[in-house]
Amino acid sequence: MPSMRAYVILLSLFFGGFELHAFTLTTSTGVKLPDPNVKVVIAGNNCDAAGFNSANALAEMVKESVDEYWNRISTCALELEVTGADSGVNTSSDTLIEALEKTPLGTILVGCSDNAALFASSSTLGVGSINTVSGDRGVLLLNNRDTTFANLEAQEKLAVIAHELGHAFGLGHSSQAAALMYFSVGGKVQKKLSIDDYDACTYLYPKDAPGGCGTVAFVDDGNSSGASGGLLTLFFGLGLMLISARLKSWKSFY
Amino acid sequence: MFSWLRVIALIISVETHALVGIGGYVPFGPSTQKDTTGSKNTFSLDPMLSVNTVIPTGFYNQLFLPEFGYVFHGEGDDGYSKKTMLFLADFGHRLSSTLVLRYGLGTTLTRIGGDGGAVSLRNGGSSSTFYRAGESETSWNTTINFGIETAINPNYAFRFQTYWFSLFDGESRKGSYSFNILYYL
Repeated sequence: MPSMRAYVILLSLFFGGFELHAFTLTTSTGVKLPDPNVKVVIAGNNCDAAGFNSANALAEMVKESVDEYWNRISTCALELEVTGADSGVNTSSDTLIEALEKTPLGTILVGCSDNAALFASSSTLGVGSINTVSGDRGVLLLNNRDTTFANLEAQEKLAVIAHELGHAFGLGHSSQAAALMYFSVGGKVQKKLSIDDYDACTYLYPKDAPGGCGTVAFVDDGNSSGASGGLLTLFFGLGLMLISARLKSWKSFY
Repeated sequence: MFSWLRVIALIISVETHALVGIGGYVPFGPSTQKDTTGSKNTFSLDPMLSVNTVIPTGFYNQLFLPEFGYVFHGEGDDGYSKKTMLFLADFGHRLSSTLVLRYGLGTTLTRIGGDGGAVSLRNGGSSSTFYRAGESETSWNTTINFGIETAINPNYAFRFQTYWFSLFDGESRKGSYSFNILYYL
C-alpha cells in the first residue's frame, strides 16, 4: 500500500492553481449597470452587411450568445434578457455616443452601424461600451460597413457578441488569452468562458447573501455585498473549537 | 445569540470526531476553458484546507458532517486575490465500515479583490487604458453537495466531493469538485 507521503505528492502534482487574475474594468470606479437583471434591446435597422437579414435574426443570435456565455455563471448575478427588436430605434450610422443616447436606462442596446470613423478598420468586428460616467446603460454596435463579421464562423460570431456585451456591462480586456475578454477572438477557440471571465462578472455583479434584502447594515473592510459572513464564520469556528475540545476517541470512527 | 449557544451545547454533548483535510478544489471544472484551443478545465486544482467534524446521529447509520473549507486561489502579481470559503452542512450514510456516502447543503463565499490601478492592454490595432479591480466583493451561493469518502487506514481517509451551484436552473447549473485527504485527529 502506498505511503501517505505518496498520496500527498500525487495530490500536489495536480495543483495547477495560483493562476493570475487578469480581468479589468472599463473605469477606475468600476461602473456597472444599476440592476443585474438587464434587458437587451435590439435596434430595428438594416444589418445586411453583418449577415443578418432582419433585426429578429440579430436578436436570435444575441439571445444564443448570452445563453451560451454570460448567463451561465453561477456566482454572477447578471442576467441578460433579450427582449427582441425595436423598430423605433435606428443605429445605422451611429457612433457609440449617439447610440448610447438612444439607449433606455438600465438596458443594453444592440445594433449595427456603418459609421466610417467607428469601423475604419475591417478587423474591428464590433464595439461595445458602458456609459462610463453613470454606468446606467450600455451599447453594442456590430460592423455593418463590410462583410467581415458575416464571414465569421457561427461560434466566432457568438463570441464576438458576448465579448462586446462584456464591455457594455462594464468589463475591460483581460490579458489572459483564454478569456473571452481577451482583446482578440482571432486564432483561438472560444467555446466557453474562462475562470477569469467568471471572476470578472462575479466581481462586478456578485450574488447577495441568502435572505439578504439590503436592510441589514454591517461594517466590512471591503465592499462585500454579503450581510452576515463575519458572524457566520465566527459561530462556525466557535462551534468547531468547542467540539474539538470535547473529542474523545479520535480513531474509533472507522 | 442564546439559540446559537444552545445549538453548540447540543453538539458538544454527543461524541464527535474531528478531522482536518488538505486537497484541491476545481472551480466549475469542465464548464470553463483553460487555453486558446478550447480545452476544458478538469484537474487544475486550487489548494484547499478543511476542518471537519463527524457527529453520529444514531439514526439509520447517518452522520452529521459540518465542515469549513478554505480554498487558496492565489494572489496575482498584479494585486488580485481570490478566496473561496465553504460552509457545509453535510450528512453521511455509512455504506460500510470504510465507506461513507455524503450529501447535504452548503454556502459558498467567493471573494475577489484587487489593489486597483490602470493598465494598458491591446485594443484592436492599438492600446487602451483599462482598470484593475480596486475593492473586494463577495458573492454568495447555496450549493447541494454529493460526495464519497473512503478510509485508507484508521487515521486517513480520501474524499471526492461535488458542489452543485444552481442545481435546478438548467442554464447556470454548474458543478465544482474537490479531492481531499483527511486526517482523523
